[in-house]
Amino acid sequence: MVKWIRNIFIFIIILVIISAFSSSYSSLNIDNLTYVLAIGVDVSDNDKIEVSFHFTKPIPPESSSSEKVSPIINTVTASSISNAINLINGYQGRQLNLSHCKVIIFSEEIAKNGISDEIYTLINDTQVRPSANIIISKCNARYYMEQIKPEIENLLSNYYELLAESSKYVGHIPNATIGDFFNSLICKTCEPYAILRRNQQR
Amino acid sequence: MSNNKIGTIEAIMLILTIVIAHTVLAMPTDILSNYKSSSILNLIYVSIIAVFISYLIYKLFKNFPSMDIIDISETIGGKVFKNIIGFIFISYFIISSSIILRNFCESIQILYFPMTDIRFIIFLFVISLVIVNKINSNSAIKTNVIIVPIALFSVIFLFFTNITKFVPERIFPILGEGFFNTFVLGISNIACFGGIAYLYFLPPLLKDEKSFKKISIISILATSLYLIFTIATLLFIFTFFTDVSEISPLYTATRYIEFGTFFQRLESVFLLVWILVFACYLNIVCKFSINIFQKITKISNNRPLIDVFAILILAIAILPKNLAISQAFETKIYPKLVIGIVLILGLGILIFANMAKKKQINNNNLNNTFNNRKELLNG
Repeated sequence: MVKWIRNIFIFIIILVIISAFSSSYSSLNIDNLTYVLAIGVDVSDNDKIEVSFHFTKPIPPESSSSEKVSPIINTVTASSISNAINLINGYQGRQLNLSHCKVIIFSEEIAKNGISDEIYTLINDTQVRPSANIIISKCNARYYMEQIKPEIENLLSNYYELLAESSKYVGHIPNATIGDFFNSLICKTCEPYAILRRNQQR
Repeated sequence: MSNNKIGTIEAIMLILTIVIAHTVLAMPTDILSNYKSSSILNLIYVSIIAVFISYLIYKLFKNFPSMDIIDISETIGGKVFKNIIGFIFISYFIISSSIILRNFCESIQILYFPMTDIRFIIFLFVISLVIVNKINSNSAIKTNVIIVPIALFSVIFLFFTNITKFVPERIFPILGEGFFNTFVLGISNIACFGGIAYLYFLPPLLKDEKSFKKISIISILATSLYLIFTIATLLFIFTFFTDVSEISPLYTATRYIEFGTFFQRLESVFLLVWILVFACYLNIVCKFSINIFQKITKISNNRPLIDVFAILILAIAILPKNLAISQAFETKIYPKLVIGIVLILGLGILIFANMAKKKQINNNNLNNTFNNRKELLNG
């Protein structure tokens, strides 16, 4: 009798734990997330910023791996990056996830005004990896993202990942990561640096 | 019976588990923000003091074979004093472990279970505690022998894999914010060696009591090395951690490990190791608390106590309203508890007991000489 009651008790505990953890499982499920590949930050009116998120549609299983997937860029105007993420989560079906964000692009105009607030927000976000590269674009950040059309690479995520890899064999591009940038930003004797890129504006 | 006793290596790993569980959380941030570039120098200095204290503990226990601090307090202050000391140590173990469990679970929630209520994450650890202690309380101590070396290896691995990102110049200025801050105020850093508290309860549990000296010194030396490796890794990679406080600094350091584009995101493996260390830590705390309680109350069967202590840990862990409160306990109150209870109270009892014993021996000697002379005169 006691054993029977104990087994029921154990069964109830297992059920409670499964139901408690299932919400986290479903929220972090690949079917419910949109993976951002790049974030672009531009200036806007009224002390606000324009944040653009670059992501791709998941490849359907029936399509071939060589098939190119058209990238999507969504832009919102908000007072901060956190607000921009909340706004975009509000109207987009899937939740944004920054764990595969490879590049963070700031327009030169916003970089001149200072980007420490944005860097603090991003580095404190557990999804953003310290290896994500920081780019300062001479043109608009959204325009820069629109112009990225890799010809050799099918996967945009691969292109972004390999973008700064060339720093190993070319001297033109440094490997400027957000981790190093933040370290230099709060260090009194260091200067943070980023990759400077230019795309001819129309 | 001997199966319930602890071996030398098991005892050393036991002390290390306590420190590893604390370094996974806010302790390194606290050290780095207080001592900055002099953190390593301060740790070396504090380690020397800690080794001296552990040797002192061994020396003070030498006159009381097979006794722990509870038995010793009974010899000097009777049953009431023994009960007071017992309850102080039980409260210290249970409160500190519960709050640290809360902090660890908060980190896990932030990282992997954002939608799960924190109570359920804590509950999982408490279930593991109950199961292990009900089956065999010593199994956690034996599991430590496997888990702690992996945890130690993980820190060495972290050090060497991040070596390319090191800026060794961050050790300068070597005295950080000055001599006074490093060596005078820096003594409070002795709180990192909270594992010393468990040395007070080890002697009656050891298979070979003669190895107590070896255990106390080696465990503190190993703890020092572990702390120096951990702090060096963080100091050389990051400028300072005061600006990023949401998650564990060691976890952040693991995110920097990358071997090309193929081998990335190793942090989950580290977290798994830390979860195992944490489960062992909780089991050890529960085992020691139950042992003390059993000694105070002289209960023959300790099995029902496991549920009580588990519920107590769960209740205290869910008590803080938010992460800020539990982190404040860990960084502000816990070091003071270590210094007050473990170092001042614990060492005070041992020193007082030794003085009392010495006095008693002297009195006995005097009485013997007096009796001998009396017999001689009568004869």
